[in-house]
Amino acid sequence: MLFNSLDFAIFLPIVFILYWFATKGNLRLQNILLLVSSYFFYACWDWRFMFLLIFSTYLDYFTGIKIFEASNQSKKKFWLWLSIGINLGFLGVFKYYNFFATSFADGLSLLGIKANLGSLQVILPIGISFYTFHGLSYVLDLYKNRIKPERNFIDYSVFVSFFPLLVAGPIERATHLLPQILKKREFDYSKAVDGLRQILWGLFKKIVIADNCAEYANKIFNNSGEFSGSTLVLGALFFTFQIYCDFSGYSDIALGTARLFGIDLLRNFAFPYFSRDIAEFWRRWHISLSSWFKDYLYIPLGGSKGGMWLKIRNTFIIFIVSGFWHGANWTFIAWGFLNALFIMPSIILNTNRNYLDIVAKGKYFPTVKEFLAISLTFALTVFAWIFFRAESIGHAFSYIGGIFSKSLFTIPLLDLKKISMGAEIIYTFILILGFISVEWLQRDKQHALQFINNKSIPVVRWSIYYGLMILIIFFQGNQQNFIYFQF
Amino acid sequence: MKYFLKRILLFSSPIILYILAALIIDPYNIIHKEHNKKLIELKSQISYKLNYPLYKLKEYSDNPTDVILLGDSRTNKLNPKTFDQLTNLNTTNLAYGGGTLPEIIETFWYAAKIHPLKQVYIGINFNLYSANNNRSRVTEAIELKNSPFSCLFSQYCFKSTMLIIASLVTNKTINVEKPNYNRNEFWKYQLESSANNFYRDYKYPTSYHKDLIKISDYCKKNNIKLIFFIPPTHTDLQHKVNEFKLESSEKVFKTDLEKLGLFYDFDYPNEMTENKDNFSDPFHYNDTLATIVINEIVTGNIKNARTHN
Repeated sequence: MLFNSLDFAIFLPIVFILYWFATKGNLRLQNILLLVSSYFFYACWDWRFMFLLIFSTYLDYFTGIKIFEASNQSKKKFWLWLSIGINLGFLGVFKYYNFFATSFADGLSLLGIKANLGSLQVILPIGISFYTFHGLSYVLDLYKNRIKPERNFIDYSVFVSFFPLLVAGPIERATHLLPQILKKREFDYSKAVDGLRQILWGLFKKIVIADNCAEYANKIFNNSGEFSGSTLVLGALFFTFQIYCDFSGYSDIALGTARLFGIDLLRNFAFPYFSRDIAEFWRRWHISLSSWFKDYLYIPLGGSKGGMWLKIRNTFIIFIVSGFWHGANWTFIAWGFLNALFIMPSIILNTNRNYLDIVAKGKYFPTVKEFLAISLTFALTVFAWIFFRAESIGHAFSYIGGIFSKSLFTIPLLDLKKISMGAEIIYTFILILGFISVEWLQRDKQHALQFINNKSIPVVRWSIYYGLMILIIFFQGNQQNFIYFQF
Repeated sequence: MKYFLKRILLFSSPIILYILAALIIDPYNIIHKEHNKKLIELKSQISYKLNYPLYKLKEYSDNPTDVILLGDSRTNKLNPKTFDQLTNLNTTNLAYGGGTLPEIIETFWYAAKIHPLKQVYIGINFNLYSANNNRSRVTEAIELKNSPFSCLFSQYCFKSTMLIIASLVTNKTINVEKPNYNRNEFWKYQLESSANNFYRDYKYPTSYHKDLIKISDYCKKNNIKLIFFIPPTHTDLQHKVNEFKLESSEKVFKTDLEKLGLFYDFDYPNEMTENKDNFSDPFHYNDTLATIVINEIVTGNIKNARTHN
């Protein structure tokens, strides 16, 4: 059930009405309803994997209690590693087995040894990376005595399976979401209205920007050998906007939907393409994952304590693991490695926390220095995305080779004609420019439509909403799956 | 909460009104077959021109026929009723204005899946036979046809519904196509802009050629009469091939078609194609030539076409 589908357009209002009217504010009933609808939502993807989800939920629920009740540290450790082992085991089998098997066989073949470890013909259960990390954060927090175990299985299951975040995050923390699930929820008009605005903006980003960019990015990346260097740059730019609008659009819809039910999810994006360095970019991109890795991997590894070399090592580890989390392909590892490399100057010079504020706050335009910093960071990000999007490392290198050729300085008019028969590509450029402008103006807000407060003139507000809807109707791209569903 | 729902209802009222109007008018007959003569006329003037493939494919899936015509605006010019009379079979013209080779291929397989075909006429000109002429509106049209929800919220349904309502309210015919140029200006524009666009970056369509071979094999296997023809264009346009030094590519194109099935070539210099009166612009012939083309490709009684390259 895609967020931008008829199924969801029917599902959401039904659950909303039942949630606020049929349950009559009874928390127990509300949570049961959320759980049933979340499982229904998940079963619409593939009901067979629902049992895996329920098993994984029960595993963490059970081991969580055991960790809390363990009489000594070694028993605590045992239950913790049991949970980690099984959770990562599932992830390993479903997501990484084929990668390890083929990489191992390739490695052996370099030594002249032929090995065939076979491959598994399995579909990746949707959302597995997300709900596994959800569960892991819960048991890790319990182990560290940050929280107490949740003894009500339904409430705990809602924490893991709440449908807006189930298949692509944000990756929640028990410390943030569980208290909201346990607390009586009252309908909040402003929150619900703002949630709807965020959903609308998310739909615009996904349907108009991401799906249109996807069409051109796919054409250029899939036939990269045929295009000039300048067109390849365009292809990388299209992908840059595709992945941002696809994933942050999804997150906006998820956050907005959750707010309709009186629940606030963690913010996942904070206008990352306006970052002044890579460190700031990573504080603004997929925030829930970055902070997860920081809290549960970087800090346990020693974080920034223990000297420069340890800091550098830990940074490389979290970026490479983060890349690997995205998918079982060397391209993601290379992407993680590149980002680690790009962030190194800030780590070494200890300037990685220089930009904690909002760029050019209160001004319409950045200073020249800020503009140059944003441009450089953006260029590095675009470069790294090439690895993320490429089919293989070889493809990424040939793509980059194509960019840095004589044709880099040609005007790609013929290429543009090849990828777009009409004026559609021009409209896409205009829409991207408009989108960037709105995001720039709203960069100090939670999302780009938040500026419309209830005190502004209704006609203006509503005109903007209707305008966005008309843009969605007229400029919708071919429907594509959300990119992060594959992770 | 009640206030919220009231506001939602108020906000949604134009959307609900639009949905109701779109469901009643149903510009692409997705939900019901149209019987109202006025609406049939308006849909053929508005909805049809806004999305040829969607309109035609829906019509075909409701009333599949044994004979189909595929191609671009030049084949679209051929009247299916004349085919009906000559073949004694029912014919649907599935050629689209601005059609392309991938659209022809996709439409063929779509039609073949729906109904066993007996005769297929495919009109292809050299300018369509290029890997870079690769737009396809058919995939989207099939998706929209199969998903009433997507269709309802597509720009085509939205525009059509609004224009049909406007036409009904004002009682005026709405022309959705671009205003006509003066004939000479348009002739020049077609030669200098459209033709150049087609030929400037010509590329042999290897994969489309393979797709056409598959169609040819399928037709042989299923005993379907497959006819390829090259609709006539004015010699001004034919000369463009020389201007872009594409003579040998054009020869390959004709040889390819010749090998695929019955083949009729109307696009070569002769009295018929030299006469400007036979054409509305260098690409498009008039009704007189359309009748000649139909007669020759259906009966095989050749007077003007060439059958060999």
